[in-house]
Amino acid sequence: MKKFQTPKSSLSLCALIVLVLGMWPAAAHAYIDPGTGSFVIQGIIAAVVGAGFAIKVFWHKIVSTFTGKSPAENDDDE
Amino acid sequence: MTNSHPDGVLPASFRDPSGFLFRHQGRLLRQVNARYADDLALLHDSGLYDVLIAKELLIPHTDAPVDTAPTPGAVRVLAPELVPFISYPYEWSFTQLKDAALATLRIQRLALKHGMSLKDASAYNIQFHNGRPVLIDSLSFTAYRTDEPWVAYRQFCQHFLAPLALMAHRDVRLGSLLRTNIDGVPLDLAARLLPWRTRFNPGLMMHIHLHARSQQKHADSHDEGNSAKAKTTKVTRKALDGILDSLRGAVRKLRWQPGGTEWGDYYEDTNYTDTSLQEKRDMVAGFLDQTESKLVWDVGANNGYFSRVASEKGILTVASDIDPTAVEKNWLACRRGAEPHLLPLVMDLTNPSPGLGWAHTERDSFLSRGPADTVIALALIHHLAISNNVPLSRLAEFFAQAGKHLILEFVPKNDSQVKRLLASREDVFPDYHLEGVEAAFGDLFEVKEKARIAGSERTLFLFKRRAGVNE
Repeated sequence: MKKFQTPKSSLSLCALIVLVLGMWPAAAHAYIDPGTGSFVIQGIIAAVVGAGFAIKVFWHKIVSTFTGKSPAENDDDE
Repeated sequence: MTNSHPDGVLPASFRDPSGFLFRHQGRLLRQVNARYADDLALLHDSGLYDVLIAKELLIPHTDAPVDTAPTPGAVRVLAPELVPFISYPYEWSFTQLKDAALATLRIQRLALKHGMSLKDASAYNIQFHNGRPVLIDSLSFTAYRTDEPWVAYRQFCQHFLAPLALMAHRDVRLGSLLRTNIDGVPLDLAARLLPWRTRFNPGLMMHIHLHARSQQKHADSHDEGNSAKAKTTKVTRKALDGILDSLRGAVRKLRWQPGGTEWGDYYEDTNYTDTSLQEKRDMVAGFLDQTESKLVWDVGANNGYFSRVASEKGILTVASDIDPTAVEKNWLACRRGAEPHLLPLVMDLTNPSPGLGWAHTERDSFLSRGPADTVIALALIHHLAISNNVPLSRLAEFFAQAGKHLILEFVPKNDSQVKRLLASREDVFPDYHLEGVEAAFGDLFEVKEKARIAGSERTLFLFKRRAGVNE
């Protein structure tokens, strides 16, 4: 199925300049070291791809109303 | 056989305090410690376990008596379904690693839907079982906590995305970096090795290049500002879905097209006609029927043409070859044909996988994962004996360690393939002839069958290891 593609190239450039850090008090429970840098970059990437992913899901819902097919956001999940 | 401590605990099973694997009266069991009790209950109560089992993404387990636990603190003991042969990511072809990566992401998405999250994303937790990638560690899940970033994100990038990107964009042989780096390819190394153009690939730009830079920037764990940032980073559930979708897209886009190599088209360029190829296949099948094998190692298997003689009989067959192209082709054929009994692996028999990790015991060497019931070595002996100068007696010792039976094809000096190997070097192999092979193997093996392969100069042997050898 042809999928809606978000303009990720431009979004990734935004990642360089966007820094969104919220407040979250609890420490991670993990036996492996998640890595500070890996946590911080997730916060940044989340701001970039989260919006794009929301648009993608929304688009799939629109497409599905016209095609009658279920949203293919996760084509292999139930 | 995998080594274990006197109390039965597997030496590789020490990183996660949630529990560990141990052997008890010949069974492989998993102790679950008290600290993991709630998460294990949630795995079942949330329905996640049933979904993952139904989708063949997790190895099933049953309960075993808790008094079998070797150490105090056990709340449960699980008996996981046994994976008969353990393989490692540095032995997988490109698409095998890619399939394992996509399975991991799929498991994580399903976990999130059930209020849980993977707390690790180790490639070593994935095994190929019945021809499919499955998670073998039931203790990998933890309750999802609102707005928490994915703790296994770094590990996923190091174990899967970085090696796949290097294999796809630089050289497929860089998959071997997983052998030298026990916790995956360091992202700064991957970023340095990847072509500059990969910075224009949004997925690789974010998850490798920027990720590596962020790691570098926040490397000082003693910096209070850094640890505060880690504690305060917030990723909403929707944003986490976005990150996983982005990772999946990045992995799916990575492609490697097997090019023509020396061995890639081997079966289209052999010393055999179609008739004699079929006859050789029939001979191998006949020899194999005399062995009552449950595990076969086909070494130098190329694309698995002869491995399928065994696997199509329902025998688990590990088909290893030095050539990543041949192994990739073999795996792609396995996927198309849904072949549950065939496991292709990349393996250089002149330098097989060693014992790795802490005290050399976290990852087993190739030989210690045996012995196989039967080793098949077709059109291989000249590469080992002539190209790699291994004396025939040393070959016999190796094969006597590797298997109880050996189906060996001897390729003599008057065969064009051997002539080619000797064309550019001095012949320092006076013992390399049929009688020499029989003499060298005779101490360790008895000859059960010996037959000339029609239409060729070659001889096929069925050897049986002598009683008392390596037992």
